[in-house]
Amino acid sequence: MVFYVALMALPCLQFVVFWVCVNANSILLAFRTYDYDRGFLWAGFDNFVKIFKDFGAVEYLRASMKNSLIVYAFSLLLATPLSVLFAFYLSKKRRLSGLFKTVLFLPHILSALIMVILFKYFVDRAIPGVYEQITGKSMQGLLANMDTTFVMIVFYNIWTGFGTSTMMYLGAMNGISDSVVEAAELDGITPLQEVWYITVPLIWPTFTTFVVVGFTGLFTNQINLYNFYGDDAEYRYYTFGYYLYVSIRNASVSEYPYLAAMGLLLTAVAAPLTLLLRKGLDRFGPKTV
Amino acid sequence: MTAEKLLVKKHKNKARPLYTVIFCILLLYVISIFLPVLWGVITSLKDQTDFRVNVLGLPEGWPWEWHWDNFIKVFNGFYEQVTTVGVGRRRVYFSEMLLYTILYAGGGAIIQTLVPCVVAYLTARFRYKFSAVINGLVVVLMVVPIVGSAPSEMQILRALNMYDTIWGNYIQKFNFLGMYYLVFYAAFRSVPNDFFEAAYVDGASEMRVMVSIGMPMVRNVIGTVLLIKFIDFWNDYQTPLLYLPSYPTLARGVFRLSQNSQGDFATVPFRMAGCMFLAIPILILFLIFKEKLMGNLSMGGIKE
Repeated sequence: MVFYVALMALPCLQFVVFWVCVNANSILLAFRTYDYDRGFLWAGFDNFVKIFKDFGAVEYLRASMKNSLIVYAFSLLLATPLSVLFAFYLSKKRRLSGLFKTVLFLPHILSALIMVILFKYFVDRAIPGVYEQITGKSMQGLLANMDTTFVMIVFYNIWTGFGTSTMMYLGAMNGISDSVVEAAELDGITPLQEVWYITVPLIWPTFTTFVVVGFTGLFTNQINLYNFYGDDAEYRYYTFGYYLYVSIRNASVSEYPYLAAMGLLLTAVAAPLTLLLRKGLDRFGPKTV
Repeated sequence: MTAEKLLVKKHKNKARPLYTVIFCILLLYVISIFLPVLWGVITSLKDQTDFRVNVLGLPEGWPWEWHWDNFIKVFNGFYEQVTTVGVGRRRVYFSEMLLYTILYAGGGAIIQTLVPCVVAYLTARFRYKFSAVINGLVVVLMVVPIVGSAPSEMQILRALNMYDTIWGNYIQKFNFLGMYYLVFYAAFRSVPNDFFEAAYVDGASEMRVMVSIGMPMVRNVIGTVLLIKFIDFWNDYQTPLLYLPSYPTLARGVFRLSQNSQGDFATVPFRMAGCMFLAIPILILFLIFKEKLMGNLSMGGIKE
């Protein structure tokens, strides 16, 4: 018992300070305002009122909402099916599976910063270079060209995002018993049918986790904007994650209450929606026997 | 050949188109990852004039004439300007950044591995009510997303004099929450009780049982978590940028190199050379521990 208490004490104390106190303080902060002479003062709902007004008026907040949704939609509709198919291929140990696995994993291990720098100069310098050599005409970089910038950013995020999800789906698929698949093969099932009727229902819990984690990402995902642009991304590319990070990095104490209120508001939206989404997916997802 | 085998064979032939399509997509993917990396390596060995006229090809001259000195120039010449309260402005070069990287990534990885490991050991071995509470807490808090508590955290760190100190950062990281706690918990639960009982019979203390029986049993998990955490912290510059402004790590140096226009260093070849400093140690680790890293990820490995 002494041993238990002695070792448990510090981590628990840390939790109390850095979780309980931090979040309690965050809530308090959201209802305050900072005065340079008198310090923090009670402000009621002023910060929230301001936020609601800003949502209608400030470009980066509207952009954040839109962009966060676009990126989530793409990852759900494009990246998720591809990840499942990739994992399916790898689980069958088809040609070059080992190599594919390694390369899919690579962007996950290498710093996103490095991948961004490589990508940035590759699409802005190397691709126009190739284009010029082939056609003889000059071409603007794909990131530098404002018409394609956001498309490139979204592409980058999907392109480097397969690794984790494919590995997780693969892990789940390796758990599927061979006899189930063999029995279905005897019945003449096609691979697409196998994916749809056997694989997807059996990996549903993993799938659910990813959909939910991705949903939480709506409010935290920086879509690598900081890696691309540092503090200076244009407003129209903002996401909530980027907005919060950049603001807190550059904020003075007087701006803390507003940001804390924003965090609280987003949490108030995110938390119940996340729980609902999880419940819904568990309930209406395919039933496995 | 039996009828069943024939059927399966027929099925496998039918399967081909789907596999071929996925194979092609994956092959394209591999190429699309390798091309920029290769181009980056080649570019890091050019000088700026060469790069301007020759964006795509190999560097000018024989391999021994290539600009290997780009790496030395970046390492010795590029710096991050740091302003510390009470100390003033100073320049931090790559060698000093390397030291901070080791302190940040190494220390952080050890803490974030051992703390969940020890707490999971306690809750898995001692079935007190409190242990169940901890378990529930970890599971619940993993699902509830909390957005934007950084201002508050910053305030508390400042109040405790932990802001912008390495030891403060260690304490900030001293938490057991998260998925790896659950991984350790599952690992400890699967160790048969007999091992521990035998040690108690021999008169070993609780501490000794944990260190010489419990932990070695899960050493594989410890190794993998340590590795994953080390890589995460090695690559992470955004957290130190927020909480440790006076201690720039290599990743932050490379970030600055990619953003800044610091005279001579504002060229693509130097930026690529900087990237290699950050990438190569991780690639070496990856090649050595590939199986460990990829194999254990299925157990859980959602990146933040």
